[in-house]
Amino acid sequence: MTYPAQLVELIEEFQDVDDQMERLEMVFEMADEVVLIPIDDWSDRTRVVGCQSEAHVHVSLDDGKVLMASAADAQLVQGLMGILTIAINGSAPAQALLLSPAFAQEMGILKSLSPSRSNGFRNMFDKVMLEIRGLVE
Amino acid sequence: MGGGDMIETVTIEGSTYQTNEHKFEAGTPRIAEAIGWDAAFGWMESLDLKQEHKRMLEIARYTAAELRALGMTVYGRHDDADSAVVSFLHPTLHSEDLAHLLDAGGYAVRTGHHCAQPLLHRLGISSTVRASFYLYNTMEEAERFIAQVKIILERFV
Repeated sequence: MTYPAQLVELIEEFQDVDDQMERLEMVFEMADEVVLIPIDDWSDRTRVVGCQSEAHVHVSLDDGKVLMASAADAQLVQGLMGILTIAINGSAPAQALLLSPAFAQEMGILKSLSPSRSNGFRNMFDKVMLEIRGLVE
Repeated sequence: MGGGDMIETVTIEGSTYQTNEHKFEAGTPRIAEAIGWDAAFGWMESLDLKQEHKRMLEIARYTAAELRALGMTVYGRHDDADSAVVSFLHPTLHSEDLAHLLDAGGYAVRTGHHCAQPLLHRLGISSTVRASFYLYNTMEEAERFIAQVKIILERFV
């Protein structure tokens, strides 16, 4: 599928890295890319169910564009959120909804993660997409 | 040798199956596993298990002391009757992050609540990282494990 330019660049950066530790380090660094949900605003409504750590997302529209806010207590999870933030924030909802979670496989990051964490990424992705759909329907 | 117990009759027109639980047991029985089981028992019987327990505890105590020196909170006393498991927590690096980073270096640890939520609740924590040592582990492996933890802390904290 066709990805936004910023995501294509990120996918290529990850694909250039063979070392698993280095790839995880890159995911860690992505944690800074999130629009942070303050811990006081974490609630059952924002919680990503099925994630082993505390993970929270909230999607709204800013001037008609997707604005994903998120946070997690584990850096690796928040890094995954940062990657999704780069992928969809500022996009039109219809464009964001075209995104498939397969991009994470193309980046090779799911190779670095345990099945439970990979499932957590999918749950987080699905919750974000569900919220976007809720905003436009 | 065995296998094929699931079938009652096979013809060109069709097959009929056993009516008992055998119908669910297609394929070769677990012959390799049975041979491995016998070898495992033979190996266990060759060991002085009391001595091995002492050796494993030495590894656990070394690991616990090294982790404490690195700023980790280590849970458990590792008394003489204890098992050689070392549960620990870093003050800032999330247990799951640490577990993934250890995994990237080839070290398998358990992380999470270990099905012991009441105890973790009592301790005021939600998870720990747990390194478990057993008969097949050596002190050298524990030393390499600690070296890997040091690398992770230098790089990620």
